[in-house]
Amino acid sequence: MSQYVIETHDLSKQYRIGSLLKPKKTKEYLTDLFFEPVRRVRSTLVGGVPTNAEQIFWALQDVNFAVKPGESFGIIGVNGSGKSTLLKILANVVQPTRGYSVTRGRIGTMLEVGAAINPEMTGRENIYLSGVILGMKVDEVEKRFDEIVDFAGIEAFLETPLKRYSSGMRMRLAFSVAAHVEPEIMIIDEVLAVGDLGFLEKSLNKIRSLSKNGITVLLVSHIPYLITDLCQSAMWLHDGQVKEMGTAEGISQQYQKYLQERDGISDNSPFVVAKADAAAVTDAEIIAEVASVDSPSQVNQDISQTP
Amino acid sequence: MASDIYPTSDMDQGLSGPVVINRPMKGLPSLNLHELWIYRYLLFYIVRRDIVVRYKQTVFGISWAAINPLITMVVFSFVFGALLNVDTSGVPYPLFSLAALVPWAMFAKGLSNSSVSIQSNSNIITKIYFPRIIAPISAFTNSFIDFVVSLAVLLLMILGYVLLAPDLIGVVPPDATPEVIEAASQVRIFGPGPVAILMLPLFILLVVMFGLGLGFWFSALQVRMRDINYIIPFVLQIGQYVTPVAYASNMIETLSGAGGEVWQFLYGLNPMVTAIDGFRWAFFNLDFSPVPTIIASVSMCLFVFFSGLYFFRYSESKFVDYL
Repeated sequence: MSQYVIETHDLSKQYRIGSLLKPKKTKEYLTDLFFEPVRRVRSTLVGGVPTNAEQIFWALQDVNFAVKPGESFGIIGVNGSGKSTLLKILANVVQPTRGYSVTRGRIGTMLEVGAAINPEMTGRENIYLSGVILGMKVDEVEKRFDEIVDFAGIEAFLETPLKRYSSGMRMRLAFSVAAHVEPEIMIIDEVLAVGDLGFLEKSLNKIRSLSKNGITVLLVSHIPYLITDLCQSAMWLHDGQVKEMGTAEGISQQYQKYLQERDGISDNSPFVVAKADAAAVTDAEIIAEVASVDSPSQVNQDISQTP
Repeated sequence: MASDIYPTSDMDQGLSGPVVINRPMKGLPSLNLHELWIYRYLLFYIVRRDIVVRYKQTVFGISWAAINPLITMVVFSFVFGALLNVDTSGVPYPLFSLAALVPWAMFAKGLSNSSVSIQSNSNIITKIYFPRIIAPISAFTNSFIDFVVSLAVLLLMILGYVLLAPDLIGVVPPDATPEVIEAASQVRIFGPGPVAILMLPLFILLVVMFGLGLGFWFSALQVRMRDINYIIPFVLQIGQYVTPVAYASNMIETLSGAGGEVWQFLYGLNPMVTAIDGFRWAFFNLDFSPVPTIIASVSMCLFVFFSGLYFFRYSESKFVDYL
């Protein structure tokens, strides 16, 4: 066996975009009332073959990387670069089209925390439910219950249904459960834009302490500062391919330079804090600022960029 | 998933989870049923979640599990019992129909819940790995729990008849006249004796395996073809007519005439026929299904269950791509 906790070998994922059909004429709408279901049933049973190459989209192409035990590895890239697809393959949720990935040990995921919670159930019930869904055994949830409640700061609301919680409290509970799974590998995807500043700071410290305790952390973000701060090495994904791989600091700087050139962002933008002397401000303030500036504009740019 | 999940080997000692290789599926999938055991807590908590959520903020709570078949029983008793006078071989019509409605409700609810179970759990399925088959199984388990509640109500009803109107269901008083004994000889409550109690789990198993097998098929298909959502109500509506819920299955025999065995076999391709005949036999000593029906039911049930299991395993690796 090998010394890596995570390995990928020529990992590729293909998606089909749009439908199998050409644009329709009015007459065809009527004939399709009959033929469309037939075609769909056939493509479901036989496996649909895309009619032309433009309808194929490679979300990931030949991604190779490996992470050593205890390492914190960052993945950076613009929206739509394949980061989330990669994480979903590593989490064994999506199957690759080509190549394969190997993970050794229990995987904890913080992919959009809160997926596992249920608004009708109480705080206590939700801690058990999402703990078990996230891969803990019942006695592990029991053992860490107080810690989880304490971290989320929801002691007074344990018997209240989650739908009566504020959205911040809900996210705190979800994050807290996810952070206490104690897996071998922790996969974190853009979850840090939630909660108030104090909780953000606490979350970052928790992630640092996870990696100090020997847990391999895989962090996905498009905020360079976070990658530099929390990771040792990093990978830059672009259009589903590995653009650069190296130290977290080097990759962040390269990525930042790319963003600045692409978007014409000046040196005093929040993007640049990774380089600047950030000692005076807290992590949380920087991230809050970056996140608020970053997200909306970037979404727009990515849409307009798509060919 | 088609991924290979190895238990931790000597080389990986100290790992709290397995070594997982995620790669494209080639050839036939393995059923990997041992995984279900590893994830049993998850199954338990998902079942629990669904029950809690279903009856939260209701006044009657889990009693709804019993109220539903009881209301149908009342309607059926009026329409089929009083108006149409369906032949029940002497069993009071309310009991006759409730004994069928209880297993039928489990089948119908279980099938419609499990058919949409992948979609309704999509928020966790798209983010966290667990054996996907837990979704339809937990959905069916839910209706099984309702079944247990309504079965208790059926037993209470029978007890009520025994106490209040014993002559109607063949409990013969010690000072009975020969006419009463003659009338009661056909219907005897729990007529087959202890054998009935031993056989009942088999009939329940027939319902569970058939319903779950169809649930596997439908839930796997539903991910790609949401048409299933529209098909299910039809299946259940037609299903209730081809199943002897409101009438007795021996009416088919009288219809068939020549070539009766072929008809009996075709009728039995709906395993619910044998299951419901089984219930009525166990409780009221009514005639059990003829042999061709039993053979058809059992083989159909096994076929649907195992093919469904296999089809589900075969399709599950692509679920997230379609959700």
